Amino acid sequence: MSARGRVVVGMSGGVDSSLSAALLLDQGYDVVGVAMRLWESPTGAAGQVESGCCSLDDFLDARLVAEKLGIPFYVMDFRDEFRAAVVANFVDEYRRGRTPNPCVRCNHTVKFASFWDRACELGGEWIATGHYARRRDGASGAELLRGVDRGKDQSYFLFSMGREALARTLFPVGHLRKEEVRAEAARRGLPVADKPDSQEICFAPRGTHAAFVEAHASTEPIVPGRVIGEDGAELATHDGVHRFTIGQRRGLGISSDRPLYVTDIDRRSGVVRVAGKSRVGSAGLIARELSWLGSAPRVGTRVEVQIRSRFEPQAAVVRSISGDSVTLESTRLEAVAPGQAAVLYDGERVLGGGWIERALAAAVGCETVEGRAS
Amino acid sequence: MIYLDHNATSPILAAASEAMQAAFAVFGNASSAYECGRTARAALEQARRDIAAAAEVAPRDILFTSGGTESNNTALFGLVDVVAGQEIAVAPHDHSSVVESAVELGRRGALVRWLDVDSGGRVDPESVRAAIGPATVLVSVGWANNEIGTVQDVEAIAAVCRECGVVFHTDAVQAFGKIGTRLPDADLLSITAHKLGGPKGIGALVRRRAVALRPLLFGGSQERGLRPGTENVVAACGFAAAVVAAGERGEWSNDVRERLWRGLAAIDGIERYSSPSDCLPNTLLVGFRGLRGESVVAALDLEGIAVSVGSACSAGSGEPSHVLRALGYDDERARGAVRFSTGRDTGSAEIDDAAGTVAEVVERMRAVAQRPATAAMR
Repeated sequence: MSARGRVVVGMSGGVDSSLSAALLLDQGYDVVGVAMRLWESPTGAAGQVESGCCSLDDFLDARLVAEKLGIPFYVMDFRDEFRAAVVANFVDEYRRGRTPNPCVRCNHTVKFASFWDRACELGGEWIATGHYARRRDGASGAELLRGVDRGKDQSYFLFSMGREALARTLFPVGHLRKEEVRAEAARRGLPVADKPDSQEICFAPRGTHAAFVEAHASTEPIVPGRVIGEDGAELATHDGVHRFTIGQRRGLGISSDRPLYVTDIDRRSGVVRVAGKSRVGSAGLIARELSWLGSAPRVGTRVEVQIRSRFEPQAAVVRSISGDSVTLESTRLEAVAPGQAAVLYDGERVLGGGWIERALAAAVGCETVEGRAS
Repeated sequence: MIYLDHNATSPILAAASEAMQAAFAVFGNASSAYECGRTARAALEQARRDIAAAAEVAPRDILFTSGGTESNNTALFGLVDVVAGQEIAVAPHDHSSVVESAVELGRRGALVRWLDVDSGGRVDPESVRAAIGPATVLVSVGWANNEIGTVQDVEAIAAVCRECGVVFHTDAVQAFGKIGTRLPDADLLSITAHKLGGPKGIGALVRRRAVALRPLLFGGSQERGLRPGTENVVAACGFAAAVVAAGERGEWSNDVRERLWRGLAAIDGIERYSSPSDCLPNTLLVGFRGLRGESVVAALDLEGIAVSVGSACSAGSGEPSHVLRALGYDDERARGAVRFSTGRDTGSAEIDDAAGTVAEVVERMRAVAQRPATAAMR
């Protein structure tokens, strides 16, 4: 038994988690690798699909790395949890006219809940993942920080991982840049050093979300609806609200002399409202299902809020907060999409956050928003 | 390491290893006309005679294959003519190389009847009779189940099939060598070398009464044209040596299995699926309520104990055991099963060690499942 204890590393077969395992071994941990089987394409025949996420190839890569490092390695099944908590939520949210974030849900319900449990069952004192984020021991417990590589930072996806899990989680590559990870993996002869980065959403590749939702929708039929402009005129019809996301510009089926953006999606009436750039602004947002990594921020606290994974954080003020709901004021939030996570930062540090319920209506024709558009 | 997964495979016996070392010197192609070919042929036929003698069948009944899976596939696909709309009756809890072959035959147009099986894994011979219809050409029921260990009354099922004029196949892979080497009187039987201390990659389909079969492979007259391909003389010699050794060691007592059970029985929430009677002497399938088999297997591996979730052929898939599901257990139970299978030389000390470690590991795992943080995070 090693001095630093046993760590169970989630190994996807990618370069980040592979190097994570190697670095932990160097640091003196007793390292165990586990590949999480999350999903399989229902179109695949009896067995697993051969390539793509959770495929035979990925598991084989993870196995090869584990073998090279000389660590025990297991494939474990999380398909039930993933289907129930991540895929079902993804489909339901789109059908409700919202924009889901399956990666955050997966971290919340699978990686830092079920996987953490299974790691403990294996005698693990720590878990580790290849996320680009950092954990620091602060004065009042563990703190979650952005990854050093801001282009790859994944702290947004981790806001709801929970304090207990954070205290026991290691992010071995969070202090590295992606190029450094690849170079280090190559230097160590890890067979996945040049493997391409994975898809953003592992089970539904970019551009196939609508088809995925249609294929996995429950009994409730998908109904067509109307696209309506600022003056209330019908501009087009559509094949279901799940095809839209707030702030979307492309694929609206409208020809217009100026760019139009989705500003509102009403599931009940099937109406999708579009408007010019000046209308995508807001006065802030309300988020629910809150989760804090330290103590909850007080009313009046100045924070930075990030409302999508690829979005510059913006200054905001906590206007009200309760156990289940927070209202943030900010004139700098564009295209606030219900269903996405609103993650609060204090500089590099993740405070926590919640799930966006709705935007606060902006003052009409807000010049600051228009001015920042680019 | 304490190895308790002999139903997956068993270490090679010294006698088998020595026989193979000797056979490596015989390089000729057993089908060649010249002397070194004849030497190879002689070694192959000696192996065939040795296995036949231990199994109490005729040497010509032994058709060498690559192992149990190929033998099972050859029996089912070689016999059933899907074009003619034939029917087969198959035990749903048999090894996946039987069950999946039957499913594929069904896909191609045959009618598959799944035989009734009770919660202990037994097939009533009279229910076999009831399942046989005018178009039925084949019944397949394994001699002993690879996961739960239940041993069928295959002689009685064979008698029913004979009366009805239907070919009877039994997958004898797990039973052969563990409950003697004398084979029951089925028309077709699948056996393999590596479960009883021989090499991997060789087995046999035992065919009595020259039951008419079509080959799966084409391109040669080896093995009576039913299994073309250059004969694997080295492996056949190892196979024969292992069978002879198993025959010489005689009956296998249940003592070690029951000692293991006594060591495990006190664990909170343990459930025994394998019956104390009519069961392979080495097989104990259990479940630990609320725990997943795959996690127990991994946790025990980290403590140096090798066991498995049911069949090695489906390990790592996370699929609930099709065996326990066929026996009427729910998915949670079917995912929770852990199979211990001892070897001929597994000793009491190893068994006691293993049982003690299992108890500790299960206790630790239960503590995880019950801690408040886990519940809060969900």
